[in-house]
Amino acid sequence: MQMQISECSIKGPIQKSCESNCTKTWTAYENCSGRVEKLVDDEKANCLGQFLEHIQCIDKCVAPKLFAQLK
Amino acid sequence: MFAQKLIGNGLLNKVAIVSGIVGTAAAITTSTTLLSDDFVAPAKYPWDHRFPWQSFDHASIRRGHQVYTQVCSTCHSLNLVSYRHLANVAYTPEELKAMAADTTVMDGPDSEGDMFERKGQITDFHPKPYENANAARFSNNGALPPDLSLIIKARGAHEDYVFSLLTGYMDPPTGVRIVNGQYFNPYFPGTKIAMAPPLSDGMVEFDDGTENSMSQMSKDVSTFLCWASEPEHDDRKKLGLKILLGLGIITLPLFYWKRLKWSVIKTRKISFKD
Repeated sequence: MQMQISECSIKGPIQKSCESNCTKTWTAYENCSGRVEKLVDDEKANCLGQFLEHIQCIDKCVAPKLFAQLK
Repeated sequence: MFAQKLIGNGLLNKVAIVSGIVGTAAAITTSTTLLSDDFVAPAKYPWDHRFPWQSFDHASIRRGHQVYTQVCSTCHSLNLVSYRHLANVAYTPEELKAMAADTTVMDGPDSEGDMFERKGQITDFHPKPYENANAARFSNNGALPPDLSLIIKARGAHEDYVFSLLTGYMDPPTGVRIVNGQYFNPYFPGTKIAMAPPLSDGMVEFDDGTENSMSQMSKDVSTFLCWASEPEHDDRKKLGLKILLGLGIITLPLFYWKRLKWSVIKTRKISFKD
């Protein structure tokens, strides 16, 4: 399963390269996805928390690299 | 000698304790800790103007204004910024006069009491996209696009938030349902935002030839809005540095003057007689 990142031209590739730093949060998110997909009837079950934590982790790696590539 | 040392240490301890208390109090009263969030706290980006000795990147302000006028201004107003405010900040006065002349402004009432339309002037403010908030809501599915004049000061993480938001649109995670007219953005409180992704690559042609990637446009418009919410920023920092320098220079003479004035009192001797 691929990470659902933005299609942003410069930020996107940097996010991809930063994924290797955040395998722990990504595993947590994937495990959650597995659980939620079994709960077909539960409309409220989601993996928002795990996803946000993963994004936060990636952001820490993205921020300095991104601005180095911008004017 | 020993007693003096003790007194000296005691004073130092007191200073340390007091400054510790003041520091902790300042940290508690001025910072917010969100223990449970439904959004991602934006990362701290290394802006060109982040430190006290740094000023805005004015080329970036100029590009950001181009992004605002060509993209954001179709929905967002900029009520507190007039064309003349940008003079010698991002444009020359001549450029701004030409820019303002392209707009039409409702003015009046004239001597007969009627409103009339006239060509825009450099003293005019940026034209509003909607007449009022109700019209704005009606055109945007019930959501009100906020005025952008002070938006950087009005949001928690300031320019980091706006930049993260603009570059932060992505597919929703497992189980999160997005209805029509909503978009998933992890930086927006609640993560469901009514604003469609506003920027895409190559949307704005910069007049200085900078690569018009989406990340670049987001950075520039964030810098521009940061300037708009604090136009006095550069002057403030410059004045602060001057004051610190001035205070630094007069410290030594003041110290000498204080010792001089107190020398009489500190060297006197009082003797008591029956």
